[in-house]
Amino acid sequence: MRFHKQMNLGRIYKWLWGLCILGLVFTGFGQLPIYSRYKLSTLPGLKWSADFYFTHALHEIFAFLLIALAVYAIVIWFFERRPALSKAGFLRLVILAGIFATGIVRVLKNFAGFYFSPNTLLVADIGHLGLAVVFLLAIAITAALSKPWLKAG
Amino acid sequence: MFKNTPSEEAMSDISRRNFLKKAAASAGGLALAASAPRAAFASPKGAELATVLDIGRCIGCGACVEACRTINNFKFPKPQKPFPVMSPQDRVKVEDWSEKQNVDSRLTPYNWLFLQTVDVSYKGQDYLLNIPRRCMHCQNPPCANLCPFGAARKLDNGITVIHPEICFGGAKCRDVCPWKIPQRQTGVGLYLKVMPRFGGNGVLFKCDRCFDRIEKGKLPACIEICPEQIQHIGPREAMLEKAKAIAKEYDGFIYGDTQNGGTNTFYVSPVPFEVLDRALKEQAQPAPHLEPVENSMALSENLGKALLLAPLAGALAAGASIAGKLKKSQD
Repeated sequence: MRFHKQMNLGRIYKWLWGLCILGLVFTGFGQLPIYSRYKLSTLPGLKWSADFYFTHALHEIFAFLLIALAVYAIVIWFFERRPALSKAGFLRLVILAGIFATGIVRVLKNFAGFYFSPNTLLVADIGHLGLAVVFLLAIAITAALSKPWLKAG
Repeated sequence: MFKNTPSEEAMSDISRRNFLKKAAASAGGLALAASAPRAAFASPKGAELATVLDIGRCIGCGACVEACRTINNFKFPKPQKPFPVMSPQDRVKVEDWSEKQNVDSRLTPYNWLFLQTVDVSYKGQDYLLNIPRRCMHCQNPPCANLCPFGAARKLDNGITVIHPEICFGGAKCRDVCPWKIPQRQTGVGLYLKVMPRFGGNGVLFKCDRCFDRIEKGKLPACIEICPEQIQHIGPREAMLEKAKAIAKEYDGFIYGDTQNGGTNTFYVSPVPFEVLDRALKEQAQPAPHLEPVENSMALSENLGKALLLAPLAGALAAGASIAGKLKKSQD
């Protein structure tokens, strides 16, 4: 029984997804010491942007939401008998998966008692940052070219 | 990581020089550094090493400070001048200690250990206490956890090290460190090869607990050289017991066992650390402090645990949506 035509998750979902991406990008770049350097944190109401502990916590909250939204979409996708992904959709999915995987390593390393080798952490840290930039480029290009996640039809 | 390693002569040079210099200064009981116990602290793989510093017995001779500077000299930054201009100039400060390498009265990129000295009274007794200060080597170090490039990392023996070839010099590690330990030198490091005007500002340096010496079964320089043998190193559990035993002798106090969620550095004092901290500030001693420190990674750990529930939350929401729509289509 199809009730999500072309698996349309709805406007609210898309807004939430967009908000999470924006939030993750803003707080993610805030993990680099650039907001203080480039005076963003001196703007009214943005002093918190240079508080690393605060932006880190926000980043993890947005990550929670994004993971929940992603799993929501995956479950619906299965229920909808796995409509085919477009190439643009597949590309974004792969990059996001890389961001999630490196992100999970970064979360686990913050737990006392979890040890990863320095090389694993280097790959996770630089990979997370690098893939985030690649993802931004990917969504900018796919948005400009109006490429949906799923194949038409 | 480092191109050269110190020669064996460097260590025995320090021993000889210090013996001659300090023999007159310290009272009897000066042990020859060369005969200090070696490698009695070897810990099983994966077990963290901790150090105990008995500040009740520190005589403030400074041998540890000098030994640290000598033995780690090959790791010190060698900046090229002039430094590239960094923008915006009013927000990015040059931190240049290269003309002040001899400063040993505070932490600098060229001085990773220094002595604080305080004059205090406690329970009617006067104390002149010397406190060797350096990185605490936290069990869950925020510097290593939060470095965006993975330059600061914690080794499996508990030592926190900043990799000078990866560090971009943003000094986030210093900002998030409860004791503000790492010290920056502008004009060295990877940032010079990327876009020095717009990103980065040198490399951060701090005590690395002579991790390279420990790898070879040797003691950290400051521990080996100490004429009073006030420092001990070994597996964390054993060192905590040692710290408690020394504290019991003094009817004293420990700092570093629980601060910031637990560190691998235990200071033992006959005087409470709140009293010492107050004295540090009143007597204008250089940072760092000796304040109580809550676990700075606690919120992150809790949010991280919550993240593990995120897939469940998404799945449940999807299940509810599907169920709702199915019910609607049946009605």
